[in-house]
Amino acid sequence: MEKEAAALTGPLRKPRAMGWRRALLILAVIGPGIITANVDNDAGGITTYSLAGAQYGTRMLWTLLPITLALIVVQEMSARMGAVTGKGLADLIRENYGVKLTFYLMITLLLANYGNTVSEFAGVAASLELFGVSKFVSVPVAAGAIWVLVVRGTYRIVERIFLVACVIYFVYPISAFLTHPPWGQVIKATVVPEKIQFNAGYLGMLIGLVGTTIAPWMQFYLQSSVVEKGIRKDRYWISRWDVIVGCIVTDVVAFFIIIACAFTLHSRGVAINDAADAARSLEPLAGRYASSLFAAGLLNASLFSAAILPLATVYYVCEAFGWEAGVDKKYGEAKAFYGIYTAMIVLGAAVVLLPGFPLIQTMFVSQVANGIALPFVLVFMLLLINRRKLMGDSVNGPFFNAVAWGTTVIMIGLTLMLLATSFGVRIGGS
Amino acid sequence: MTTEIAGSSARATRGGIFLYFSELLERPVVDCDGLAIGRLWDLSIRLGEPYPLIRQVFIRPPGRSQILLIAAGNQVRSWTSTPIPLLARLSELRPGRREDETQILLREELLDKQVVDVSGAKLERVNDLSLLVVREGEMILAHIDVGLRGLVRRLGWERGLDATVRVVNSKARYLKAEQLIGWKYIAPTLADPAGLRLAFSQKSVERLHPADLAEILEDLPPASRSSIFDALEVATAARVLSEVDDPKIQEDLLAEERDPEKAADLLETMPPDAAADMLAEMPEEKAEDLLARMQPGDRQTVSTLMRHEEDTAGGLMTTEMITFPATITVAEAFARLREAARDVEFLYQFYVVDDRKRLLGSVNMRRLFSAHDSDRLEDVMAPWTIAVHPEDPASTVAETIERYNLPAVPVVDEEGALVGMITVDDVLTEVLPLAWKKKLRL
Repeated sequence: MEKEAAALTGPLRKPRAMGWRRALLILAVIGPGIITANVDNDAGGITTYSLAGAQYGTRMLWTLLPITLALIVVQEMSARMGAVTGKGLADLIRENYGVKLTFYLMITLLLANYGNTVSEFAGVAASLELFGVSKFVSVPVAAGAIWVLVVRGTYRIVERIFLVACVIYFVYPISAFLTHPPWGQVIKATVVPEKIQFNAGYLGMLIGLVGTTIAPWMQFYLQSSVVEKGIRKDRYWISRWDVIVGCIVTDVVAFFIIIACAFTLHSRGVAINDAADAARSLEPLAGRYASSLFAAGLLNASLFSAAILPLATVYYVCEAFGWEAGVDKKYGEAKAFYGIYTAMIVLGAAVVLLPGFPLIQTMFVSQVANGIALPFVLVFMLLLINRRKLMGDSVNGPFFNAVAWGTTVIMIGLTLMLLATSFGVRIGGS
Repeated sequence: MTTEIAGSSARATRGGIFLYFSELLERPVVDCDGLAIGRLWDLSIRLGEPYPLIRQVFIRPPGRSQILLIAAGNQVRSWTSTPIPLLARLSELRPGRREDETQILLREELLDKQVVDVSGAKLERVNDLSLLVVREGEMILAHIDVGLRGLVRRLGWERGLDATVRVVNSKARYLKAEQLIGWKYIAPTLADPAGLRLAFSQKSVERLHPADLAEILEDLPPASRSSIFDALEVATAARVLSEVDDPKIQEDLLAEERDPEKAADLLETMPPDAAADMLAEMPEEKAEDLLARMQPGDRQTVSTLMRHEEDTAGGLMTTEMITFPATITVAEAFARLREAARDVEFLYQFYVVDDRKRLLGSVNMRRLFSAHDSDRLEDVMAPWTIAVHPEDPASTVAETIERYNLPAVPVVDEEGALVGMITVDDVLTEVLPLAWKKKLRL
C-alpha cells in the first residue's frame, strides 16, 4: 500500500496547474471565430470595401455598425448551434427538412460558392498582374498548388502561414491615418445613417457590403469548425468571445479600407477600374511601394480563401447527401468529394482565364450574389435555432430573433428593390 | 450488404410487394367506412428485430398540425391501395405518441439520418426505406436505401430522369443501381439521452472490428458518438477506445461516460500503456478521480507508466508482458503461458530474467515450439540483451526495433532490471505520421 501511495503522489506527466488550465482551455476553444473572420476579408471583401470607399466616399460608413451587429448575431447563432447540437448546419438542415429543401439550398450554395471561388482566382490574377505576372501563368499555378496542397493533406500547416500573413491588413488602418481624414466627418458618417438611394448601383453596393461581410458559406464553416473542435455547451462562453472578437476585427479592417479609399481615391475622383487603382489607397503609407503591398495583401487573402472555400463547400454538400468525404479517403471511396472539389477549382480558374475577363467586377458581383443568397440560409438557421427539441434552453432570445429576422427581411427587400431598379422601375422619389 | 436489384420488375417478388417509404408518406388514409382520416405521417417499428413489423401508423388529420392519430399496423386493410383503407373506424382512433421506449419512428428518427452500415463498416445517410408487404396488413422494414436512385426518388425526379437516361443509354448502370442495405446490418445512431432504446439495437455494431468502429465513431457528430459508445460492452468499448486516433475524441468519450465506475472499468480493461496515455491527456482532478476508482494493481501499473514522457521509451512501453526464470523447462514455460494468455495482449516475445529481474535473454514462440519439452530455458533462449532505457526517445526505440528486426524491444533501467516492453505497433504510431494525417480534415 505504501508503494502504491508513492506511485500516486509521484510527479505525474504534464501536471496542469489550475491557473494554466483555464488559459489552456481558452486557447483550445479559441480559433474558429478568428479564422472565419479573416477568411471573410477575402478578395471579394477587399474589393467590395475598396469600391465602396472609392465610389461613395464616407457615405457607406454608417452601414458598418448595423452590419457588425447582424454579423455578431448570425455568427453567434452558428457557433451556438454547433456547440449545442454537435452537428454541422448542412447535417441539421438535411435531418430536419428532408431531401428536397436541402437539395435546392445546396445548389444555391454551390453556385454562390463557385462564384466566390472564381472571385478568389480573379484576386490571384489581379494581384500578380501588379507584379507583372500574366494571369495565364499565375492562375493555373495557383489552382494546381492549392489542389495538391489540400489533397495531399498538408493544408493545416499552410493555414497557419496564411493566418499569420493576415497581419498585412494592419496596413489599412495606418494608411487611413496617414491620409489625415477629417475625423469629425468620419465619425458622423459612421453613426448617422444616410438616406438610401434607390438606384441599382447604390442598392447593389449595399447588398454587396452585407453579402461580403455576412457570407452564407461562413455560417456553415463556423458551425463545422466549432463541432470539429469538440466545443460543447459548458465551454461555449469562450467560443462566444472568439466569435465577437473575430466579427469586430473583420469590420474594423473594413472600416479602414473604406476610409483609406475614400480619402485617396474618392476625394480625387478616381474610380477603381483595376487592381492598380485600388492599390493607390495605400500610397500615403507606402508611396511607390503601395502597389506591391496591396498585391501581397490581396494575394494572401485570395489564396487563403481559395484553399478554404471550395474544400469547405464540398464538405457540406457531401455531409448533406451522405457521401464519403475527407482528404484521408482514397479517390475510389470518395468520388463525389474529389469530383466536386476538383471541378470547383478547375472551372473556377478556367473562367478567369477567358480573354478580357473583368476581374474587379467579378469579385464585386460575387459578393452581391452572396447577399442575395444570405436570406435563404438565415431562414433555415432561424427555424432550426428556435426548435426547443433541438436546442433545449439555448433557443434564440427575442433580441437575437429580431436582429436575425430583421436582417433576413431587409436583405429580401433590398434584393427585390435591386431587381426592380435594374429593370427600370422607379421607386419613391429617386 | 449492398444488394443490387435488377430493374423495377423484380420489385414484385413472390412473397409480396416491395414499397418505398417515400411512396407511402403523405398518402391519404380512410377508415373502414371510407371516411377520410388524414394523410400518412409516420410509421413505427420495434428495435432489435432483424425483420421488424410495422407496429403503429401515425396519421395527420387535415388542418390540425399538432395532433397525430394512431392506428396499429395490423389495422391496415391494404398497404398497396390509394387511399390506404383501415379496418378500424375513425372514432376508434386515438391521438398519442409511440408505444414504448423500444420503438423508433421511421420518418422522425431514421429517414435522412446517419446510420452505421455494419456489413460495409461505414456511415451512410438514409435516403429512403424499402418496406416489404408480407401479406395485406403485415408489412416489415426490409432495407434502407442509401443510393443515388433513392435521392432522386425523394426529389420526385425518378420517372423523368429514368426516361431521360433511357433515351441516352438504355443500358446505363444508373437504371439498375439500387443501393439497398438489409435492416439487420444497420445500427441507427439515435442521440437518445435515456440510452435505453439503444441497448436493443447496438448488438449488431459489436460485430464490427474495433478499429473500424473507432473510425466510424470519429466520423460521427459528438452526440451520436457517445450514444453508440455508451451502449457498447466494456470489453468492446475498451478496444474501440484504444483504437481511436484522436486523443481529443478519446478524452471526450471517456469524460462523457455517465458512470465513472464504468469509465474506470474501461481503463482497467485497456492495455495499461494506452490507459496511461489517455489519463495523462486529461485534466488532473478527473484523471485522479478515475485512477482512484481503479483496482489497486491496475492503478499502480498505470500511474507508474504515467510518470514517463509520452514520446520516450518509458511512455511507450507496457508493463504487461511475460517473463520466465532461466531455470524452468520448456514444458513449464508452456504451462505458464497458457495461464497468462487470457490477460496478456502480446503473445510472441517473452523475456528470461534472474531473481533480481535482470534481463538474461529472450525467447519467442518459434524457439519454444522447436525445442524439446525437457530443455531448460537458459539453453533455449537467445542470449541477447538488446534493450532500451526508459528515457530513450521514440526514434531510438524505432531504430533499435528496425535494426534488429524485433517484434518488441525490452525496456531496462539503470540497474539492468526489466521494467517493460515496447511492441512494434506501439512505436509505429509514434513514428508514422498517420495518426497526424487524420487530424487534417476540416
